[in-house]
Amino acid sequence: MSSNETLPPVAATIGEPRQSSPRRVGAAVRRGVGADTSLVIGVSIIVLLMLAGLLAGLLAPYDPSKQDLENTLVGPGSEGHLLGTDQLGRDVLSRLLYGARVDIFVAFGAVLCPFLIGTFLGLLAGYKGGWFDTILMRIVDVVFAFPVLVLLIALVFVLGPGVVTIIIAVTLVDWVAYARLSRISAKREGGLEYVAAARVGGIPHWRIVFRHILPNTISQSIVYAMSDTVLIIIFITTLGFLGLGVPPPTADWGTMISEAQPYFSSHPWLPVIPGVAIVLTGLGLSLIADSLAQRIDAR
Amino acid sequence: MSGEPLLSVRDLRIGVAGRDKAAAFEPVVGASLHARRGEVVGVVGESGSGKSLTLRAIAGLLPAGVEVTGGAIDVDGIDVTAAGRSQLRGMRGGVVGMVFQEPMTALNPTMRIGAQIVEAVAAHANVSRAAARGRSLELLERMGFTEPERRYRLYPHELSGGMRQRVMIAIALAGEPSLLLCDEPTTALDATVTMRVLDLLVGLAADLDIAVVLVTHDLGVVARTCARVVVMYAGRMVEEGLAADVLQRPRHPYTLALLRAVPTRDATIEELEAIPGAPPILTAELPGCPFAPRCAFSEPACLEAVRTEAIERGRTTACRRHELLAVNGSLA
Repeated sequence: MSSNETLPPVAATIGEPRQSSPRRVGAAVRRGVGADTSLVIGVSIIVLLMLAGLLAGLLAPYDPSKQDLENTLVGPGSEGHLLGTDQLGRDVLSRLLYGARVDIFVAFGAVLCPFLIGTFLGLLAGYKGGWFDTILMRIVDVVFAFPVLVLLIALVFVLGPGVVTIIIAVTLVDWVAYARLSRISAKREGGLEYVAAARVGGIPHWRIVFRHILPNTISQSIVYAMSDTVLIIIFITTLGFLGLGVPPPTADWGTMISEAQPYFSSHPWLPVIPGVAIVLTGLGLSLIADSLAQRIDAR
Repeated sequence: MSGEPLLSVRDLRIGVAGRDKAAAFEPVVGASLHARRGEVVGVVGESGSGKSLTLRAIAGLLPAGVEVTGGAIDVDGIDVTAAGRSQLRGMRGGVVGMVFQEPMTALNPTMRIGAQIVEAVAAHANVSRAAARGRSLELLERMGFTEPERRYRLYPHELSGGMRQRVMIAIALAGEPSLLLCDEPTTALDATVTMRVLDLLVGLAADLDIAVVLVTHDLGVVARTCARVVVMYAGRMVEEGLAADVLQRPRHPYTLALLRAVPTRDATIEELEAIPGAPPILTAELPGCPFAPRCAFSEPACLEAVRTEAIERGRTTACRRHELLAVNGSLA
């Protein structure tokens, strides 16, 4: 297979991000404050949000599903409800915290499977070549030919809503990006002399792949996974918005925005608060992805 | 220095597959090479002469689409061209070790050098971790590293080019091979480091009683290190003999031309002679001598046929008119 085939968008995630890359915001901030600061900020945001989700049970002042029909649509800053309540009188802060648990952890869970599967298959294809490479890349091309979000939504629609469904759907669609990325890297590294040296040295193939090629190619996939998580969070919230996400009454940022729709003009904070949470998560991941990519480039 | 050669390559042909018959060609057509234990053999020739491919074929490392199409390669009694996968794997590292040109890319940048040597040791000997570590430190010390304990923990980017190349040699020797193949090991190094690495290789050949094949395009390297030398041109062996003989009294016009192109202290730039013309295109099958079109000694018959003949003990040339060189070809 020739190397001048169309590269997947992921190949552009190293170096300066492309226009559509989730790293674009991160790059803008990094140019202002420098790569180290931007990494610290990104990691802090994500760690804080993860802690908020993990400790939601301790931090949340109320049960996120508990309705209080006498106190509906209370504005932020009112007594007992820091961020107000929604149309059913549920505490917005509590729902936001529990939503972090769902959105961030499901997103990381959903990125892990395609990351592992795609990277593994891509490494093998790139190192081994031959029929395995050809067949795998044809499958990848077919999956790539579909618009990602449409395919994901169709899959979730068929499989039925739920956390497991989201992870399965994302894995089915998303592994191709990691497969392409690691295949290209494995092909490039496989042509270098240290791999030839390992082969002359009689080192077994599996060891060459995992001990020599993998550590030299994995960083690009990790950077991409950070950007990818942003996309998956957007996807999860989109599903929630479409009513296909995590089933109610579980709190999830997308569902919160969706349910707040009728009150958009009268009570704008209702959709804006979860919206800000989504943007903040995206910013954090974007900062991490971009500053990591800069470090790899610098090496 | 006597007995059966450890490495014996006879009339090796290497073919590159093309999309169709017309695109296929043979970059190596008749390479022969012999090396005994304790001996350093040089292979010289310009870029594209097939010397590196020949070396890779010996190691069983030809890239995809490139294969041996004729001839034989015997290493320590094993026919490499016919060897199965498992036989080939046993041979790698254990019988044949290889040193590459680029010390920058020939070491894994993400592993400490100690771990890389240990890995190579462990691939061939069923030894404990401690024993493998001990052997690795021993190898580093043999390669001339002071404080091997400290170097052991370094990453490749923390070493200079010459040090990396010595680590590379240590890795190549980890499986205690009897044949060490070196593909332009000093081309990427500066002059003083080059000398050090070459002296190390010569010392290793004698001390470990191994055969070293050194591919280079530098005749100075050959003069300094090699007992015997093979000159290659356009995928063929054109001359072979003791290095001193070949370099002093070349019996092939190509060797003579190469020697005249080497700068020396006494020659001014104007006195250096470039070889006129360009090497032949390898897709066309040549019946005659590939060098004839560029040769000052050629006659029409040279384009018709070529044969390799022995002129002295261990000395062969592929030139029909080598006797002319014996008379006129002195370097003076």
